[in-house]
Amino acid sequence: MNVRVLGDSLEAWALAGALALTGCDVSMSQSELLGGGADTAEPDLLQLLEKQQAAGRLRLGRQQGAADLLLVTRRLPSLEALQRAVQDFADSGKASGQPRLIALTQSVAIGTTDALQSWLDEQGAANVRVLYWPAFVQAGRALESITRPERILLGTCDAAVERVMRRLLSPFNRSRDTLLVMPPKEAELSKLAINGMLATRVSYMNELARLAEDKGIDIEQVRQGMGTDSRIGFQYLYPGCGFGGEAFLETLSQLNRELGHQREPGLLSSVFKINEQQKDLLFQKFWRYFGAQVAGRTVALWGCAFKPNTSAVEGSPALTLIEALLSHDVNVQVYDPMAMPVLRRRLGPLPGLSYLDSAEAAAQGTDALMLVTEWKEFWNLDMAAVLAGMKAPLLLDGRNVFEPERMHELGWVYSGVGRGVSV
Amino acid sequence: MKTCQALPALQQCAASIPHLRDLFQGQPGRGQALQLQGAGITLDYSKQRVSTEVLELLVQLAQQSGLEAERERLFAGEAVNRTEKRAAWHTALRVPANRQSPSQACVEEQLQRMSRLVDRIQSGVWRGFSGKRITDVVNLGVGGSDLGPLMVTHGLREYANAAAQGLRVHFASTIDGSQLFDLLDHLNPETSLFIISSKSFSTIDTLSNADTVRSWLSSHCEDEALMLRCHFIGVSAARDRMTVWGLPQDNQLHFWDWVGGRFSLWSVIGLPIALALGMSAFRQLLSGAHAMDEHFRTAPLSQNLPVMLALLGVWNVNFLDIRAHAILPYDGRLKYFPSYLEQLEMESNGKSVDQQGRALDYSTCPVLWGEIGANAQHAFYQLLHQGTQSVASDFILAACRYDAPGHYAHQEPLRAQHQLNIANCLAQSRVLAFGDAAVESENSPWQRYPGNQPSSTLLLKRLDPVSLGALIAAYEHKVFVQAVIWNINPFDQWGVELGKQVALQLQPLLRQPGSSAMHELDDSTRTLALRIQQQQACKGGE
Repeated sequence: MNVRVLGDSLEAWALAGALALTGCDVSMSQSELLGGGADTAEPDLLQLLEKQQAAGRLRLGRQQGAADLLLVTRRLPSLEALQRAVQDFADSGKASGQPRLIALTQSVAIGTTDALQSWLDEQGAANVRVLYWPAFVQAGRALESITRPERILLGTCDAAVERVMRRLLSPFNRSRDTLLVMPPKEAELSKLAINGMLATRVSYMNELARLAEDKGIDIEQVRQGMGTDSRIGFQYLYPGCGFGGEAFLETLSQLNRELGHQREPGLLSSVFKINEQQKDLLFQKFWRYFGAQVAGRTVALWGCAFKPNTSAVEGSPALTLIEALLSHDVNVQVYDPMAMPVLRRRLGPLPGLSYLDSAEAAAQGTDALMLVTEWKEFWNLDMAAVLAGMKAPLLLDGRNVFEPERMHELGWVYSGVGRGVSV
Repeated sequence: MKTCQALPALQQCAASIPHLRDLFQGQPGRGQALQLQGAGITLDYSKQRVSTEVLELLVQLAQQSGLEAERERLFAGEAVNRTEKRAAWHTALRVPANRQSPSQACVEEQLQRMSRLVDRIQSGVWRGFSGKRITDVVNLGVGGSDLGPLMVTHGLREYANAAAQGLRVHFASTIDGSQLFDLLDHLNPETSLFIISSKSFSTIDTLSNADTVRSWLSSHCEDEALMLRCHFIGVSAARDRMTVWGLPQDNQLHFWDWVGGRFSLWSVIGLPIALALGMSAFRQLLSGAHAMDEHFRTAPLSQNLPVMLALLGVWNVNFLDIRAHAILPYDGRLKYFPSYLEQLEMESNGKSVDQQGRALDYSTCPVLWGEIGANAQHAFYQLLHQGTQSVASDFILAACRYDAPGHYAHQEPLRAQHQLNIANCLAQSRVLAFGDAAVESENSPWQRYPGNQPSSTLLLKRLDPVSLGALIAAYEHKVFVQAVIWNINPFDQWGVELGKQVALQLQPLLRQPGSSAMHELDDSTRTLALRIQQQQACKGGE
């Protein structure tokens, strides 16, 4: 099948790579692999893309050539923008008279799939069918998200479309049938609802963590207690200093718009609010520890990616913290194994902000250490040695990576998120 | 005033001034003739009981009172406040930064400091003791430190910039703590910031509120210095007192003794305005006032809006013996404008001793009160139309409203309401002036409208920061002009002092039931005090 992919996000590349892998002829308008600002670090994906490009199944920069399937992975601000984006494909599809498909993979306003189909029908391009195929791509394991999906969701009421897609996706749907077909609107809301639920779980845990902190309770044990209940499970029960990620936050905003909570705050607005507070949490602890005498101090920031194994910083608590710290004349020494170039590009040179080459170097001579991203390389560092280089022993663990008792023994003033010690 | 040559002629005119109905009949084109513009505001005074001759004489009265020289002294920052030997230089607060003289440079310096504070608070950089961002600001102030900021903040809310919209601004003024009682019930001590606003920093109303807040915050934050640093900003002309109270230097904003309390909203006293609306709206407010200053300073007296407001007031009070003045804004946003003017006019010109200390034998400031016009129609307009008091009125109206390009819901019905509001405003001034003659009249004695109640209409194109600034400044200058004519000092307020002293004397007595000092009180006060003590003693009821 000839597939054209619109977009240059991580999702776009993962879909392109995965489909090329199964023998599709895939084309993209980008001129270089993972170009166009996809701030990602997915070694297996890059390898795959290189291989597919070499094999001629992934073609970059070519506009010509008719495609059977157009994947719209780009987030477009309106239906009109979406129409403009697919206009050429629709025109050539109409001229050919052959069955053609457009799949929308991003979170969209509910009803977008149907609205685009109606527009195509009005244009006399009813042979071009639109379906909603939400990708559930996770940064850090993008390729796997496509090739070994938990389930595949298809939003279409058209049996022919379903047949084509089922065939196309059969390589990813072998061990058991995980394909779920439903009308487009239901699929659109499912995509939004899943992310809303995940965010709600995290914010709920953060609210509990706040209580735990006040009451001298260790949330970690509570988390275990909750997770063992099969109705709940362990996923997304980690309290922390806030979730981020562009796609995730975008989807949540879309859901919030759909819920139309302008007049009275609903559940999701509290979820957002709690998350914003969590992003500021480590600053507040730092402020309290030093009794507001923070100007002129230096803080180490371990991690600035919004989660491990990605170089993306969009929505990361690190951004909130850096802004708050710098505005109070606090110097910041940041280290991240992967996201430093992205952060540097995003923030540019800022007085008071320095980029260090290692976790240890970033902590050297600082008044507080904030752990923002739970990169594996932070877990077993020699924290006694790190402490020796600090000016003050404050360790603010935004991801509950360290064991409170152990850190206390080493001489740290340790505060996790909801670990029973309030600073 | 007594020595002015124009006086006898004015008195003669007053004795024979015709009914408004007849004035209009005798002067075609009166509506156009008796109208002037200043700083974007139109003043229609055709419905005042004046003739061309009266107007000419009133202008002479102003000239003969030495208005022009005194105005020059006002703008030059000379000590026009003679009893307190200082300037009343509120006009300096509104001079644009690039035109400030060296002695006015301190104004911009404080505005810059205020601007930085506003920015820190609105952007969330300013933190409470626990490190959280500020969500609520409470202005603790009374009189000039309350009425002006409250009036402007309420009046211009729709002009709040995006950064300001995240912040709730409250006002607490009353000495009894009522407003605080309500506020402290739902405010979060971690995210609330208090502005202590007092020129002297000794106003007991404000400081007692501040002490209550301080004790409330202390129960949540043990570190006193931290609490003071994170939750209080002082605005005062008394630096030392702010420091003694415990405010760090960085949390102090200053103004100067040459700014009178009721003329102070233009100074850093305007901090709540800037917080609630944004610094740019505050600057626009200043620019509107400055435009009115320039108009007042340069326009010929007969075409000078504040001067004309003042002269009409003098005419009504001193020649037509009208002792009451109603302020009737036909605009819900100007809800607090009447109470603002009550202070501005009555505290300034409620005097009976002249600049030389002699008792006056003529009237000065009338009793002034008001209400949103359309609401007052359902309240005290009955008295205006059919009562036995003569009352002069100021109608205030904006021509355009709900016409912003933004597509907010219900724009059409709201516009229709605005038209209805305008119709009501014009109808009322018409009926007040012409009475029965305005329409086909009924014969029953209860349905008769005598008319002849004078009024002015102040028309703004629209109510915005610039026009409100100009409107307030117009009344400030009106007050000044009247004071010059009446030969009184509008910038002191000795009349409010004695009550404060006596309250301080009484306060300890009330705490000691049966104190022998009680016997020094007058019989009425003593009896009341004893009754209060009795009622406080039996808490469970009678």
